[in-house]
Amino acid sequence: MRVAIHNQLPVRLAGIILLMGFVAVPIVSELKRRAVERIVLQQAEVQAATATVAVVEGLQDVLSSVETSVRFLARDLEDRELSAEGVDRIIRNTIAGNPNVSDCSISFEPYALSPAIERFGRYANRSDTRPATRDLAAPDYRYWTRGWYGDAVGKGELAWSEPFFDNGGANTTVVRASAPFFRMIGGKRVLAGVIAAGFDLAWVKELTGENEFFDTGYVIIFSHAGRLIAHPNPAYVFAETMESLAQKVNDPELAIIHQRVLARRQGSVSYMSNVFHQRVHENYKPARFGGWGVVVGYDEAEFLRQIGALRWITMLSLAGTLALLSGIVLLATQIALRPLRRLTAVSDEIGQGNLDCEIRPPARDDEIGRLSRSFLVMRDALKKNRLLERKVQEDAADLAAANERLSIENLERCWINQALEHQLRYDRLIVNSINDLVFVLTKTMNISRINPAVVHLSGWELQELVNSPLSRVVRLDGDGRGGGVSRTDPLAQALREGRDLRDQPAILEDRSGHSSPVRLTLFPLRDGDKVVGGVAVVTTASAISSSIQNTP
Amino acid sequence: MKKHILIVDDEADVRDLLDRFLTLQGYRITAVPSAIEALRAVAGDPPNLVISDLQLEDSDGLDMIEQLKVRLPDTPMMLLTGVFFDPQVVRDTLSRKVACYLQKTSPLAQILAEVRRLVGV
Repeated sequence: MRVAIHNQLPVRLAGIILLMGFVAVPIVSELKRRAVERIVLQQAEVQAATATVAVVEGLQDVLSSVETSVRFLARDLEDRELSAEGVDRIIRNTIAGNPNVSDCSISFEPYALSPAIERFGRYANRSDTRPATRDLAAPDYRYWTRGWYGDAVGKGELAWSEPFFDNGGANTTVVRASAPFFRMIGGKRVLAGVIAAGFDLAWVKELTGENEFFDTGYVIIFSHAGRLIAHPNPAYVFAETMESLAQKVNDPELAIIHQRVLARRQGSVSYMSNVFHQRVHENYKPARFGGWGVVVGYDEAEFLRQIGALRWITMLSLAGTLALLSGIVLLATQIALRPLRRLTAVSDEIGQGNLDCEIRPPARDDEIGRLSRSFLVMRDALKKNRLLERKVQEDAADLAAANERLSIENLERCWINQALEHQLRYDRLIVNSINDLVFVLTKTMNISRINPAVVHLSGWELQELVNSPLSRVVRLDGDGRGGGVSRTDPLAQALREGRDLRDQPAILEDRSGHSSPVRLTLFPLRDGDKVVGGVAVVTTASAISSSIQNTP
Repeated sequence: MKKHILIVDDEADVRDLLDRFLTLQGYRITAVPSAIEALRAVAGDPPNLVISDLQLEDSDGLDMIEQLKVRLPDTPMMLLTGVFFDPQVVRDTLSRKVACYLQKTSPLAQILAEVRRLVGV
């Protein structure tokens, strides 16, 4: 029997593998994508964290050098002999000695430089052609009214300003570190003035430019108050703070980052940015100086795009593997099942009754080999069984025929018996229906049978007369009474000669000994040509008279 | 279809034996003990052959056969009896009344042969 191709085991196995593959491939692919995505994003975060550290370190290098210069000057001015020219020289040397310092100023408390000078303050910046020529005490500036001066005096320690445009000075946006300095006057250490040094924020652009990473990476730097110092969107720089921008674009994460940096915490956050209109991952870290913070962010989609491609590659490779595996399964099962197909064909033959089909002896001892051996055993057993069945059928048919013959024979016997019984009964009926006395005699004239009329008329019973001589009951008239058969007995003589003796006068003696005249007729009984006995019919006188009366 | 045979005999043993034997031979049998029942039986289910005894309880077999012939003029009648008839009587008298005369002492095989001769197998 030919099996439809879709029902063939190899095709079904291959189909199952492919079907399972179509279910499993997307699942495996998705799991793998998620794992890779996690790994890639972790690596991106590590790189972003590294970049954050690099930016912070670069920023700290600049801020610390400026702060260090201010602190150094503050200590140096405590003991030094000062003059107006000396102050100018110190300022110029500071700018010349520290490339990060873009401007420098030294301003004194009233009469702190000289009892003759109430207010004295000098300022120089890197772009000035004539450094230290500016007088901060001039009426158009009046340094003691400025915030940077008041803050430093008020705090009594170094303070960083917020970024501001140094209008009339360097004419650029700067931040400035201001620190009070003290001098021994009259044996007392008293506040003598404020030293300030600034640095040009244009340098921040260089710093962020040096740390570009990824395709979508960006750097945000903000001040202690959250003022944006560096941002990918120049419109926000100096114009917005972290809080104002968070409120403006509805990105509360920006304000949160600022708060955490103020708390000296570092970390990362992922969110859907309304500034960049994409999902971003941002690492943030506070700088050790100035209370500044650095944010390094990137677009997560940049990395996920690569993963998307990887997903397709994975799916295609898995699908290819599945197709190859299905082919291998198809081929392997075709080869492995070849003997099984032969056995299937054999079982079909056996099923159709052909027990003489060829079954190859198993060439191997695996499961299929054992199955082949079982088929051989089964086929041989079926053959034996079939022979047995045929023999049983033949025997059963013989038995049925014999049984039928026996039944018929039995019926035949029964039929013969009943026929004989019927005939005998009929014969008796005939004899018994005769009203005359009938005696059936042997050749020696002994009685062998009588009819009921004998019993009725003579009073003798059958058992009393059987085997008795007829002469015990009836004798010819004139014949003497004797026990045996007389050689001169005319009845015996007639019987020996095989002739009838009709209507002879005779004497009937009944059981009570009473004698009465009767007429006797004797017929010899012939079997073919032999006389085997005789029948004596005795008619009583009453019967004779009745017969005479009935004769018309 | 099996051939239908009506058996009429006042002796139950004879009826039973003939019934069993002829059934074994493939015939359909109706067996009754009297002439009245025989006449009733043929009215509802006409037989292909009638086998009758001569001496019945309620009638003479030959009289019954005469009555049956009125209803079944084409149906053969077989007389199966224990009464011996002289061959001359059989030839001159009975052969005009019945299709077959057999003595009850005849073997079943002979009875079957006559049945087959009269109605076929």
